[in-house]
Amino acid sequence: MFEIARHQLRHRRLEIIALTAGFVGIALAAIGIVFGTSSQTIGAFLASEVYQFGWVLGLGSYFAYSAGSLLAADIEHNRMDVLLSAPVSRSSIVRQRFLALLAVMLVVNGSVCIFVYLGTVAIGTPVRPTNLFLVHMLSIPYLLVCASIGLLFSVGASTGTRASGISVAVVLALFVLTRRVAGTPYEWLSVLTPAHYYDPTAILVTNAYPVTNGVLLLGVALLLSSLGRLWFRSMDLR
Amino acid sequence: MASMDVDNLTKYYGDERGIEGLTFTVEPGEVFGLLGPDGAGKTTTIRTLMGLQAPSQGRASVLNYDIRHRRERIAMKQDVGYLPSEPSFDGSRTGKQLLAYHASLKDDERSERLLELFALDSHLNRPIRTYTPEQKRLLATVVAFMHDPALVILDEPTVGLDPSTQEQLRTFLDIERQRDTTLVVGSCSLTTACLLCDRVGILRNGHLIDFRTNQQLPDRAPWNIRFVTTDPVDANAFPSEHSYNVEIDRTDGQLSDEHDGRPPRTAVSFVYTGTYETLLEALSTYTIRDLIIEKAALREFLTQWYGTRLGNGGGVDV
Repeated sequence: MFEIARHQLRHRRLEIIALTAGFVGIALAAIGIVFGTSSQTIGAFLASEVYQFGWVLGLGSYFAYSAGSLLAADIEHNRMDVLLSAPVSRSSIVRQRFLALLAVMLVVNGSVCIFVYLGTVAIGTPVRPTNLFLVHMLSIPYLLVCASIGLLFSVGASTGTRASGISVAVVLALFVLTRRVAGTPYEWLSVLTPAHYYDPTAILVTNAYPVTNGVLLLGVALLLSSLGRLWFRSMDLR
Repeated sequence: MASMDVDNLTKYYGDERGIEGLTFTVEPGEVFGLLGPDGAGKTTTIRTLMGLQAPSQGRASVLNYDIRHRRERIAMKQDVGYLPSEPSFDGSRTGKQLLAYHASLKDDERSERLLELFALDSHLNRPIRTYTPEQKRLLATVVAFMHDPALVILDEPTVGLDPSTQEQLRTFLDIERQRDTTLVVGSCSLTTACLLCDRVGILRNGHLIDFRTNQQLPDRAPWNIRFVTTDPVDANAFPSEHSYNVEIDRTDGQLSDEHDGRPPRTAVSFVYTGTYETLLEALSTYTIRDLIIEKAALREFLTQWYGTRLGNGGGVDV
């Protein structure tokens, strides 16, 4: 039933370990070394030093990149032919590979969440666990939107590298757009960017949990990934 | 009930024609060849039958599964095997991992036996990127046959393989034929078609222009023969039914005759389809100074069969 997802996850084992270790390392280094010199509260510190860039920009681009090669690389190198000679539907290939990406998101978020909490406890200024949990949980819909952007390009672009490159560029551009229009007459433009609906600072500092925003992002992710899936299902593989 | 029933199958890529109006049936246990030069539409036909691209028009059923319906196409692959013309894998995987993956997606009734047969069992734990092109093709053949399908579609199964691997593959396909597996083979090699197929459909420029049974095919693929002799050659020396495009050229002979007194030379070239014995017998009557024998392109042969000159992609329409 989930053979393709399982196969993908096995393939991504190293990636999960590297991502988790990398982000845990960065977060713990920030908490252990930089926080001592900072005048911020632990919540504000984590939001600005770890989550704004690490999650919104870093992981967002990473999942866009990763989703970009989800199909395009196999199509480009004719590997899809051999896979499609088995009785699997194209839809299930997309669904299960996307599901494997979701699993990576969950594992990385879960592990980093635990280590960051333990880190803040260790230095004697524990962060509010609900806030920390929600900053991770509400990042999932945001990351799913980034991955669905990657998926769309993975179907449309001619090579895996191109698909990944364009996807990262789009996610970066959307992030920069949110930042640049803030406080200008064009601020309304930011409602078009996914980062507008996921703000780690608001969650960690002002205890604002905009669950509706999360639901909205989830809807957009579902829409974009379904578009990608239907497109892939009906396209000619030459 | 036919194993494959194709009716007016047509595929256009925008304005560009892939195949047009293909109609044929393949009987259970038959080895059917789609024979044609590069660009004639073999791969387009096969990819359309495998559901990798949607037909623009027409219908086709494979083992009674209608390829136009998504669910039927997926179910079909439980009983159908497919060997692409250039099978490609994730090189970081080992052969064992690849086969385990495919075994989880479809049945695996005999990969072990096939691996042994192709002498791949000792390579299984190595990453596929270390495999030779021959081994990759054989691995893809294992994937195509591991679930013991009733029908297998093979796209250029012998192209790019060394002669011994070609022979190995042909022997294996012959055994499959004896097990009543239906085979549909796309090939630009007349040798493969002659040795393997019960019947071939000849594809030219996207159209099926003829069908021939194995008995109606020549015993062997045509050869380009070119030799140089110092003996005089009669203009009608090779009028036999097995030789054509005969060209006799003695221009250089005249020059050398005048300058250094060497005997005149004559270059003779023709395409030959007869037996080796007859050819050697005919050649042995000349003093041969140079001899080149090479396999003729299928295009040459079809030209002979169908009369019209063929251009790229199968040439002019019939």
